[in-house]
Amino acid sequence: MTLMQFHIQSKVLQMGMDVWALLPDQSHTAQEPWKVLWLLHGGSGDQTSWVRNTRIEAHAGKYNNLAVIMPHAYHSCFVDMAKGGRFGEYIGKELPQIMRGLLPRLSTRREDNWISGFSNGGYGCLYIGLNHPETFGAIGAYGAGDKADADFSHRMQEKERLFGTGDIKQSPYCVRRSILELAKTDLPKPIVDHGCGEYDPWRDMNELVRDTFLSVPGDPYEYHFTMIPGDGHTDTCSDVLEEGFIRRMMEGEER
Amino acid sequence: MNWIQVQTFAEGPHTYVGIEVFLPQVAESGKRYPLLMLLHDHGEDRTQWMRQARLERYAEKADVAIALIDGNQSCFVNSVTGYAWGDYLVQELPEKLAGWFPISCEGKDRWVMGVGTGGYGALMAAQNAPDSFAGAAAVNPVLDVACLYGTDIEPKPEYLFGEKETLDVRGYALSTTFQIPVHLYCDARHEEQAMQWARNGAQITVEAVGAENLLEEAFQKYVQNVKGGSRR
Repeated sequence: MTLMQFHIQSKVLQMGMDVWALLPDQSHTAQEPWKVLWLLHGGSGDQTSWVRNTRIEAHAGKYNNLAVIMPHAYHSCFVDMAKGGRFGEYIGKELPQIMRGLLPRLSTRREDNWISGFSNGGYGCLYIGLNHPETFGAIGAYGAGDKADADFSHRMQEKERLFGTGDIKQSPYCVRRSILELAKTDLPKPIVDHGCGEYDPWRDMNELVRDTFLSVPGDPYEYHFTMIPGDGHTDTCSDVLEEGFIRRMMEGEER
Repeated sequence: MNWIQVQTFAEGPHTYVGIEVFLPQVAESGKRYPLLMLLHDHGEDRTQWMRQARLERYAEKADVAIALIDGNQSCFVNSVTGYAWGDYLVQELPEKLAGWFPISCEGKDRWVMGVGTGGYGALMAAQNAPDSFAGAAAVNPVLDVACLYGTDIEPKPEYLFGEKETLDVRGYALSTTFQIPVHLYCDARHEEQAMQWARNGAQITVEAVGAENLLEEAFQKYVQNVKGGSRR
């Protein structure tokens, strides 16, 4: 695939931002818009993480019409920080606008735009995807628990700068709340693919998210959960789960 | 401006290549920008122009797209050994750029500018593919590659152009008749030779520039010629 490194200006964050993209090698005759996978890094990652630590290029490169966009979001957990930048708005709203201007081949249909990530990126893609159902037609959340269920007792400063001083469960940062609230509206619902490794240290948090999705009547999210046996919160686990998500979305395959 | 670094497979040279692209802040959807392609000198690489000139300062005002091209010391022509850097420059890359970015795909919206052996490459492109460009510029260009033979330049010119005696026959000699406007920017050391060369030519202008800030001065002047593009 073709690898591009973008340095763009975010007005929302008032910062220069880095974004990597993997694009199909073009056939000059094909003009169909590319499907787009918006892929979010983990806690200590950046725009280079997926390319260096997984086989994302091989998985996406099997198709000639799938683009992968990988933004850097620093340590923001991809949210509109309580005491910091509005990274949720940057990724969910501003970034698609900027990238579509620079790469006119990117499809603008929600069915063709999928947001995905592992670990913090897994939480982030749920937070952003559920907040922007008009933009993203699918969410691929892996190694992903709800930050509202996390224990921040030894990390109060981090918790407050990201999520504020109140109970996260009562805030927009609580994705298990967002799952249920979005389901009650007439807004389009994203397809949701979710999973984690058998030995993930936060497996219980993943299962809470799973149970919330399973409790929604009518399964509007076409929810699917995969448990990867023998693996934990690792690059290999994220690689396998991401490959599965791409195959599900590109080939309509149920897992 | 938006700065994009591209790594892509190039068919002509049979290898992955890097390209530095600068795009204006895209204000309108459907708009396609005119393009100025910049070619480096021997011993340099695609980053030469951005390091030796403040490109964005002038390109932003001119509202044009810029692409900095790697020629891998090929002087941006097809080598006799089968590396088709010339085809890559005049056809493959412009098509790719227009396919990815909001850049015009038409020759009338495309300009090429090079320094040194890159200047030779720009002039060769203008000569061989006049429909692919609206104009070309060369800064202190190498006007006759015969002068490269017998020096300690790497790679040997024989591996690029073949034998010195057959330069003409193989199409590596520059004529002075151009079908599109060609601008030469020369410092004091190179001006005399350039004016001699241009004397009986067609569509060639020669302009003097200072040696201290050579690339920036020439770029600032030439980018003002770059116009066009389209709106949907």
